[in-house]
Amino acid sequence: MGTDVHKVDKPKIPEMCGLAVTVGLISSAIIATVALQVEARPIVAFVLCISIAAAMGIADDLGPLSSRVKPALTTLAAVPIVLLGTYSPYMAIPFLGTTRLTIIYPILVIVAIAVLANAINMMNPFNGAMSGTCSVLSLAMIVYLLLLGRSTEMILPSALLGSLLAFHWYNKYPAKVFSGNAGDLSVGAAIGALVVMGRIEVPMLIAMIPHITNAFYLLSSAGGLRERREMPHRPTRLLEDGRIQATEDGKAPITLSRLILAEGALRESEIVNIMIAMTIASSLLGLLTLLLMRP
Amino acid sequence: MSSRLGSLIALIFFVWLSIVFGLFIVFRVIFEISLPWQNALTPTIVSVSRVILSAMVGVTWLLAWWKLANVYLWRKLRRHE
Repeated sequence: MGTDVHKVDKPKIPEMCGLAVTVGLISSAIIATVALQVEARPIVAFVLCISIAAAMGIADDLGPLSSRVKPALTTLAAVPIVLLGTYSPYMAIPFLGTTRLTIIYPILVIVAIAVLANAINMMNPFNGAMSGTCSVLSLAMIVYLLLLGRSTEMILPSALLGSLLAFHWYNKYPAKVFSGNAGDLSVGAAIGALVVMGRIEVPMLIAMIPHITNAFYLLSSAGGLRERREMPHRPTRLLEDGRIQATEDGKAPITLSRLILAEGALRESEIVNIMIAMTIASSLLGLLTLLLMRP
Repeated sequence: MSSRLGSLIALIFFVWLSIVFGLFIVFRVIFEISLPWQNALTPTIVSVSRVILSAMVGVTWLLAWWKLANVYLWRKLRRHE
């Protein structure tokens, strides 16, 4: 059980329930392979990728991993994608066109999956933040793939969207369940794997600007990789009326939630709605980028 | 609430513009660099220059994002003190 620190009465909430998303994704992927007779190799790589990320998350939930070990271990989630060769080294880049990155691309796959998994893990400070923003990202992936005419690749993002929406019902404010590191890391790894397998790297990089900038601000202002418990100066504080306020502590890290609260205190659900609206805006910019990249 | 959201979306728009403009600089300007003379070292000098200049564009991106977030945070916090 985890404590919901952003509530006045500090209720105890079940942890690691994000594993329901992982289980939903794995079962959907297996059903899709059998029912739609799609190629099994990418599905196997995807299932192994999210299972490894979930295992790392479980290990972190049960006995916290060090802030340096966790990101290093999440790189292992990318190994099935690289070993089973379920990626294309031809990457579409704005102003350059499609370029061949035979040697660099596998390294980029490993870095991208680890970075995205941890960026999504860092963007889950409030009820429904991860499930809400990642639902938007899954929908963005489906739209991008639809526009590119890659209908087969839309199966797994659709399964992810369905699983996340079902989970969001229970995780939204006031949360009845927490996703835990197990859920956050497996959803992050799933998005990373789908970005690579769907060949939508640049539009999704744009769609994930809120997540990536949040991770960048946090890492640069906290002076490197630090766990929440290792940071004595907090970016936000809970007021007696249940609203959340940004702190004026110069030593506290800069986070997206602190930027959102810089203009004044808000209720938790309002902060999450702003995070979701920002992800919708960045997803639309990703769509614009995709349209600009098309020949 | 809507003005707050507008400011935050403007931040995202700035990051998007900096990425697009940065990619334009890297692939349309830096990658087009060539030297007027040709000798055995020319390809190496050109490649190293491209990598260094591209890295400088990347660092400029990050510094700009960092500066903007800092200015935004402290200006808004002071206004609401």
